[in-house]
This record gives sequence, C-alpha cells and structure tokens, in this order.
Amino acid sequence: MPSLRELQTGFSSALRSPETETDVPLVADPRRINVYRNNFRITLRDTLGSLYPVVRKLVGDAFFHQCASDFVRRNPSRSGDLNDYGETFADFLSDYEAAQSLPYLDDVARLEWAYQRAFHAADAQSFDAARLAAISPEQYAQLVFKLHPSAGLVTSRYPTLRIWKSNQDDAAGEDSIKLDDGGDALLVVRPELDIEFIRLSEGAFRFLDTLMQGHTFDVACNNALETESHFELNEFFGFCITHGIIVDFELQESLS
Amino acid sequence: MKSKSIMNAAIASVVALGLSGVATQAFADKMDMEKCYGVVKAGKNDCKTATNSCQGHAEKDNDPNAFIAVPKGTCDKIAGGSTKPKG
Amino acid sequence: MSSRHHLNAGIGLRAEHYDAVLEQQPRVGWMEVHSENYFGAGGKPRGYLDRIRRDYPISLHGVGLSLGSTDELNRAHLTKLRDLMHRCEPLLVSEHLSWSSVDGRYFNDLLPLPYTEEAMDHIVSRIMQTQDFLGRQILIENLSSYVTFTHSTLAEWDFLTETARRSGCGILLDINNIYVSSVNHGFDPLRYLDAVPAELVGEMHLAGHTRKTVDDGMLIIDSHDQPVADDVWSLFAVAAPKFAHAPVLIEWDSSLPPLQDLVAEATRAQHIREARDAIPA
Repeated sequence: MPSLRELQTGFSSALRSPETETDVPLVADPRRINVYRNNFRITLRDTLGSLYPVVRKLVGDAFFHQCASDFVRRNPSRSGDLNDYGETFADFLSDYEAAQSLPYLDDVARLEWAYQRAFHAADAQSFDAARLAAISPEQYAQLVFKLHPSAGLVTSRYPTLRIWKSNQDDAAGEDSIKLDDGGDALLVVRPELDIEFIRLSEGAFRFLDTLMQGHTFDVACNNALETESHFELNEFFGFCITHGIIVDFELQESLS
Repeated sequence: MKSKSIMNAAIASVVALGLSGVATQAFADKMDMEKCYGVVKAGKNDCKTATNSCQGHAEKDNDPNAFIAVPKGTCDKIAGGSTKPKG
Repeated sequence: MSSRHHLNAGIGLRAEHYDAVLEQQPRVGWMEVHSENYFGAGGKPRGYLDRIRRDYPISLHGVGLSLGSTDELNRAHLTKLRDLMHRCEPLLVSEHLSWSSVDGRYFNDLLPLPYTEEAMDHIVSRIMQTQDFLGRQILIENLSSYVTFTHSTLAEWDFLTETARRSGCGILLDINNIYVSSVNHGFDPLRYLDAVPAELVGEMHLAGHTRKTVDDGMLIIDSHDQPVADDVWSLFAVAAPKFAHAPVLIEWDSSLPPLQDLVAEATRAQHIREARDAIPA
C-alpha cells in the first residue's frame, strides 16, 4: 500500500496534468477528480481576476481567462493564503507574446499589485515631531527616515494612473487616452485606511526611493537635488511628514 | 555640501511646525493625488468549491499552438505609443 | 464555556457586509471569519474586524493550514494565525480535516485524506503540534468531498471521531458537508450523526450547495452560493437536539445576498433549535 506521502504526490501530479487521466491510482471514482482539477485552477484564476481588475477590463474576459490560465500553469501557489498569490503577474505579462500590442499592460499590473500590497500593509503611528526636535543638528546627517509600511513606488513610460482611473467602476470615463501623453512616477500609500496614488516629480521620486532603500536623509536630499535641481525639498519633506508618508526615524550609528 | 543648509532648513521647519501642517497645506494642495475612498476588497480565501468546477471534462490548459485570443476590452480606448521594444 | 450555551446562531462575516453589519447591528449571536483573510498586518480588514469584534464574539476559521499534508507544518502560517488570535481573542479557532499542499505547492483547496491508520497518526500529531503552538484547543471540520480512496479502511465518521479523541481537538460538524458527501459517496447521513459523540462537537456549520448532473449521475458541489437546502435543514433538525450546546453558523461565500437574507437563515436555524427546547423533557 502506498504511503500517505506517495498518495499526495500522486494526487498532486494528477491535478496538474493537463488532460483527463482517468487512471489515478487509489481514487475510487477517478473521473470526479476533475472537480478538484478544475477548482484549483478556477480559484487561482479568480484570485488573479480580483487582484488585477483593470488589466482584466483592458484585455476583456476571454483574453484574461487565457492569459491567467497560462500564468497559473507556470506559477503554482506557494502559500495557504491566497493574498500571497500573483505578485509576478506583471513580469509574466511583460513577456507574454499575445499582449505585446499593449506595452503599458505590465505597468498597470504593477500598479494593481502595489495597491494590493498597500491594502494589507501594517498600520503606523503618526510621526513624532517632538522626538525629532530633540535631535541636535550635528546628527541630522545620520537621520534615517522610515516610510509608511504601505508605501510603494511605481514608474511607467505611459500614463498608467489615468488608464487605471478610467477603468474604475465609478469612472467618468475618458474617451481616449494617448499613450504619448507622458509617463508616471507614482507613490502608492495608505496613510490611514484609504489608498492614495500620488504623482511625484523626478526629485520627489528619487528622494523617496533613496529613503526606501534605507539610506540617510543626507543621501536622499543629495540624490533628489542631483536629479531635480529645483526640487522643493522643504515643502515636500513637510508634506511627507504631515501627510503620514514618513512615519518614523532612527539615527544611523556613525562609522567611527 | 550644498544640500546641507537645505536639509537643515527642512528639518527645522518640520520641528518648528510641529504637526500642525498649516504651512504645508498649500503645498499639499498642489500635489496631484487620487484617493480611493471606501473601497473594501472581498476576502480571497474561503472554503467553497467553485460551482463551475463540476464539468464532465477537465479544464484544458491552453495549447500554445491553438487559437490565441486577442485583447478585446477597454484597451480600444487607448491610442498611440509604439509596441514595446523587445529586451 | 457557559456563555456558549446561550449563543444564538451566527453568520460568516464577509467584507461585502462590513458596513451593513456596523449600521444594522444584526441580531445574531456571533460571527466567523476566514483567518487567512486577516493575515495582512493592517488596513481595512483588520480595522473592520477590530470594530466588529467589540459587538460580536468572533470565531477564526482557517482554510489554508494544510493540516493533513506530509510537508512540514507551515510555521509562518501558524505564526500569523497565532498573532491574529492574540489580536482578536476568538471564541473558537477551527481548521479542516484535509490537506491542500505537497512539495510546497498549494492547491488552495480542501483535499480529502484517505481514511487509514497512517493518515490518522499523521493528522493527530499535526493537530497536537498546532494546539501546542497556539496554546489552545482547535476544532476540526469534516469536508464535502468528491472522491474517495480505495485503500481507506475507516468510515469518515470513525476517522473524525477517533482523530478528535486522540488529539484532544474538538469537532466542527458541518451538516451540509455531511449531506453533500453522503449523496456523493452513497452513505446514510443519519449514521454519521449517530456516530459522532455530542461532547466532542464544539460548533456546527450550515451552507448552501449546488446539484449538478455529470456523466455518471448526480454530484453535489459545496458551493456556498445559495440558501441552505431543505434536505440539510431536515438533517439539522435531527442534529440540533443531540449537539444542543454547539453554536451553529450560516456560511455563504459567493453570490452573496443582502445581509438581511443571511440573518434570516441564522434566525431559521435558531428557531429549529428553540423548537427542540420547547419540547418538555
């Protein structure tokens, strides 16, 4: 008699096999294994559909069905929590032959994943300005500011946010969007409970990107000003603090 | 370093402000933001079996050589741009 | 837990009903959520759960632990469950008599086990590890299933009961699942109810299913997308007096109706219970 382990690996390969194999060892009613074979594919495909509603709307149900099925076949779920599934769908789309006529599609998917991430990210306390006031100016160069856990950055050569927005259920609906209208540098963040998309200047994007990589305030300011010489650091930093985008700081140990 | 004075000023103004935000409101008003009010996403995990899982046949994976669907959705409303350069 | 004796029927809490629950404060005894939907660290799911649990006892019903899998028990998953448990202090914590993954590959479905001594030894040890890790008893639910295994040596009710006895877990008896499997595999559902000892059952479930015609006859799918079927209500009427202390819950997962319809189902379950209470001993 096969072990439980053997039964499970055998059942698993039967579920994954593309054709109806009526000869599944140990299963009393092998044709009914199709219920499981179909159910897991439908579940994962529906998960992608709920994660990527704008991609789905852009390409239509038939195309989405095909492309989500292809994704599911090549990307097994690795978690018992479906919220962990589908992160790499954008990369998959960027290489997906049949979607090459829609060069913005993977960027839209990246924006939708950033939304999903922000939706479930941890909450954060608001910034403690009094703690910052207690830091002496000599230590400013060692300040490392922390962004809200929900913060994510997305860039695109295309007007991705307008495409996203015009495909929302309540959208007034732009008649047409021209891809040449310019790209987007976006912050996706959830300061409290509602998710926000914020368009960033080049300097602002570089500033947040540098902070996100864990660099000091010093380095972030330099990078931002190098990218955009007229970057309004003073205002943007104040905005990040008061808007709940920067939520905390620590002092980097000085290298002595 | 040129940025040092700018950096100090930025921190000084945040410290001086406290978190009243008054002075930055004008700036915030200039920001281009979209807020998704009230959206609650349905939970993805449940213990049902999909009604359509029960078909007489298995869901077939797509045969790569078979008919390939063409995108046919709201992408019709998006014009211009060149096909993505192949990496 | 004496308060359990007086718990009215509960409903599964779904995101689509969050605001309606807060506004209407429906008269149900408790609410159950799928644990994994609250594994995220923050945001709306946790925010709503924090608010709703002020007004209703909460039960955590897991679907992804893959207790019956021969892979290592997923510590990350268990840790998230424990964190959630500490945050929302649930009345009950439950999982399924099933497996859903092997070699790290998840099907995100409740797959049946063969009912053998080997499978029992395995799941008993996994339930005990889980209870040790969580520091509390869990309940294990019987499945709806579509296939059986030729080398099973035990009836499902014996497998379930013996698993609970040996591991110290309780049983979440899903009345709809008993019915669905009884039709799919041709056994007598009353025999199932007879075999399960009342003292092991800590909760009951009711849900809607779908009848499908397939090549070789009829198959019932556990679809959770419609009202509880009449046959299942009848079976519940038999179960209710025996498992009188187990709180009962209405599950509904797709094609969700307005909240009031769900509450009406719970009220019907409550009335079936009370009808039994009204009969003089």
